[in-house]
Amino acid sequence: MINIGPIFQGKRFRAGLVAWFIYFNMPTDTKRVRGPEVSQSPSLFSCDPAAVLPSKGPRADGRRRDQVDVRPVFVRCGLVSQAKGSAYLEAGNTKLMCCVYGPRETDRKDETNMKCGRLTTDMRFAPFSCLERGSWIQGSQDKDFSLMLHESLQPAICLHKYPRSQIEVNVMVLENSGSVLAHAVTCASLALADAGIEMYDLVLGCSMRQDGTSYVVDPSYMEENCWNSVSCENQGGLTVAFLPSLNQISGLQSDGEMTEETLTAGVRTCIEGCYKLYPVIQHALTKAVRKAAPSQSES
Amino acid sequence: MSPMKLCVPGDKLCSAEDCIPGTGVYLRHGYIYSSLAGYVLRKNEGEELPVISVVRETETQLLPDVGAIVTCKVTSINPRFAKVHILYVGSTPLKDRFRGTIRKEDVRATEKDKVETYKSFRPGDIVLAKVISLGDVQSNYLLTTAENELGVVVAHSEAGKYQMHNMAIGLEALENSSTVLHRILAPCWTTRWCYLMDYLSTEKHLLGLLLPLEDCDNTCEKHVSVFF
Repeated sequence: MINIGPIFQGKRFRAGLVAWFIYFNMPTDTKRVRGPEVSQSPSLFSCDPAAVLPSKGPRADGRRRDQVDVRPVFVRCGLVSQAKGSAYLEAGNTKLMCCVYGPRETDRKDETNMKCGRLTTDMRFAPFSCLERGSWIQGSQDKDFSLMLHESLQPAICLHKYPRSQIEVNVMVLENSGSVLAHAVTCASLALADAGIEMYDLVLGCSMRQDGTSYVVDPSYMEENCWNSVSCENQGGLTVAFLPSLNQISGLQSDGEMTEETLTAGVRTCIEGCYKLYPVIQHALTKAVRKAAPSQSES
Repeated sequence: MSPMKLCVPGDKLCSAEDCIPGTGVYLRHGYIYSSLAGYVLRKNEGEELPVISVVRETETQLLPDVGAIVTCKVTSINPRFAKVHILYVGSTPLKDRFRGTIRKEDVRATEKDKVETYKSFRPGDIVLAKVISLGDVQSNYLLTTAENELGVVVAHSEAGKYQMHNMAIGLEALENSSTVLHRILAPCWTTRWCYLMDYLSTEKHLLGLLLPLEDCDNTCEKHVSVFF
């Protein structure tokens, strides 16, 4: 083998090689320091998680199948002082926070609505939130989730009380460990209530995953993304955004292939999961109100 | 008093036959529901039924509404209008600034066509105004100062800072007799008065109070007396 090393050590050639790499690769983040060209990402060498999760038997974290077993939830309001209202939610390992700004003047004049306010939602995943490092640039999944969040929250807010204004809801997912959209909806409605924005009702979210004949409620990341290789009839996921006091559904997102009965049963299961969350959310809100204004004996 | 009840949005408070809905609540199917997270307040206001409302101790975000008196700061002037930032609605400060416009014809009630905006306002003045319209999609809130209690309340002169109450109400604030008035900015005055005051101020020795005696609606002057 000819030793070609010493020949190609000239600086000009290396610069040219780097330029060639950059030119022919997809435009990536050029502001961050990347490793040398010969380095490889460690995720290539890590062993894949089990591609198939058993569809019978207990779940990995000890919850039961075919039962409405949602993960215990930790919620706090009012953590971000710069925002008008904020909330932080932890469900198992899923952690996310939401900030609400408004009502303020709309940014763009041509989108001002005279009769009612505008709701702007934005959902972002932190790059360290998923198993594989994501980018700061918003992908299509972020935009998709933002749109679904908007759809779920809009019916609940009394927008007609805020004409010519804009209410901004920003959700940031710090760790994605399953059923992110459902918890984002809950967290966002908590932040809106904390901000003092008038709403018809709180919006609670719950998701489930159907795997053949059994289902799991509030799936974790593994349970959400590992499809059963044996193609069963019913395989899919469902997320429901629910208004408990008014008994209305404001958002429904589903993927996969499920029969009609499975879907309706799944919706009912998710509603039950929302009812289980309701007392925890109420308690967190009342705690935040009491902390902000402890005056108990005012007439 | 017994401790007040807390509620979250969507809580059913009572039936519409027991109470009248106030603020922070909404009516649906004959029941009153809460729309805020806060304390439930029941007040007997002399009518048959008590008024039920939900209050949060933190200041509720008010939006400038038609007919509200707002405090704003002039940001730019134009021969046709003055642009302002609305800072307070009533006595509640706004967290975010809303923009408003005072048109030339809304500066004062008399002699509207002879108004010169650069003589009535200067950038940085604090103005009390009233919202006449929410405006349309392209424009900002429309404000007016064409009333007795409205107009410039704080202005900065080149000689130094001073503060004055609006002329029409009375000038108890001008206590310090060495105050130098650069220019009278009360927009409800006629041009002639402006000139007179300018002339007086160049003397730099205006010691006294200005009290408006009468308010003539139709045309021209307000009769004022100047005490030296």
